[in-house]
Amino acid sequence: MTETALCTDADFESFYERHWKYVYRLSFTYLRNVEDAEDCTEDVFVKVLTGNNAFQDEIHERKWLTVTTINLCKDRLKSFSHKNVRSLDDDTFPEPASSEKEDQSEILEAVMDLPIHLKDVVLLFYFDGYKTDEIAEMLSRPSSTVRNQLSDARKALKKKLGDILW
Amino acid sequence: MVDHEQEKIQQAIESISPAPDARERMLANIRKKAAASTESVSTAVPEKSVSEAPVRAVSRRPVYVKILSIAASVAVLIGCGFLIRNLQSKKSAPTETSIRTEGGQVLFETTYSSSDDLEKATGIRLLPPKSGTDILYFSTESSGTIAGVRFSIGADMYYLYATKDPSDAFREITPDAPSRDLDTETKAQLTTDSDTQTETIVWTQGDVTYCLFNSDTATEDDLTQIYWEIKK
Repeated sequence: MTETALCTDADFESFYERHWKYVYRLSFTYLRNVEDAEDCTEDVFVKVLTGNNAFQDEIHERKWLTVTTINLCKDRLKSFSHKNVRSLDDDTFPEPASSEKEDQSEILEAVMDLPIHLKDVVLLFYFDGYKTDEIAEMLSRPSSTVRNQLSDARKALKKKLGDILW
Repeated sequence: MVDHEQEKIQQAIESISPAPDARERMLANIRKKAAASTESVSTAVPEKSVSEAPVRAVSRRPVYVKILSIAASVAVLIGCGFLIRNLQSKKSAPTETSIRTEGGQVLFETTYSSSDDLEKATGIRLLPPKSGTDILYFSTESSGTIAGVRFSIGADMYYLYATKDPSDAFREITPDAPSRDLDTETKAQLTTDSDTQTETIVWTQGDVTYCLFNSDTATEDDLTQIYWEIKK
């Protein structure tokens, strides 16, 4: 299988253009504020620029970005600064643009409120569309664990959202 | 049913809209950070590097900025936090330095090829458990020097930090999270943070305070066993 390296500025800008919103959104769902999401997004793409990565195709790109973003978000969440300072002023949610967006806002808040191990599987399954076996591989968890976590996440979302999601 | 759920959740997440200028600003910062990470930078002279720091997004949280500026003890903790982000690389040698910034503060992170090199640089000797793999030694400078080692055991990753900073800042981590005494000899306390699903053990031996914490898949028992091994 051929691999494509990001050799030129144009290659990188094209890569950035394809993925920056995805990385930002994924970061935001974990970090819950604009500053951290932007900072994390930057760090993901710095890794792309400095890591001499060669991607087989867009699916490979996306998987790499997903795993890298989640890992960087988790590192940041574990960091002392996040535990000690960020919690004082967290949750800068985007404002719903209109009343019809309120459901989306509630769903987003419910997903973001999930414990991290459940949020992982919900985002990968529903947002990215990965199958549970693929998620298990990406997260280094047994498939049965992923399926159980997905079930737990559904129950938690259903309890919080009721008819909004189902 | 799944398709309906998927559509709703996708729409909800896609409703997250970056700031209008975010694309260009982040791209500029990415280039600056990438350039900085490839330069060989001394761990001294922070004033020089402040001017090289990437442009930060306009702060939407003035309270946070104020807290950052007045909480000197927290600065030590910030150093550790940003160090972790830079440790995903599997490279373990040679010694290298990179810059991380946050809230206008510049933090220096240096990696070392051995525990001896770390000790020479920081005066603190850190050794991971014998079963540890994927070992990376590092230090960071904030208001004081923090030595650290990242290691893996099985699929779980751990971080061990140590400092001689007398402010004892490690013990201020997650003050509201439940904790229990683990070892009276070293004043070791185990804290569980249910939000991030991490456990932290902080203890003191001599003039050094240590902080050990785990990845989200490791258990409290795993962490406790490592503490007893490291304490020896």
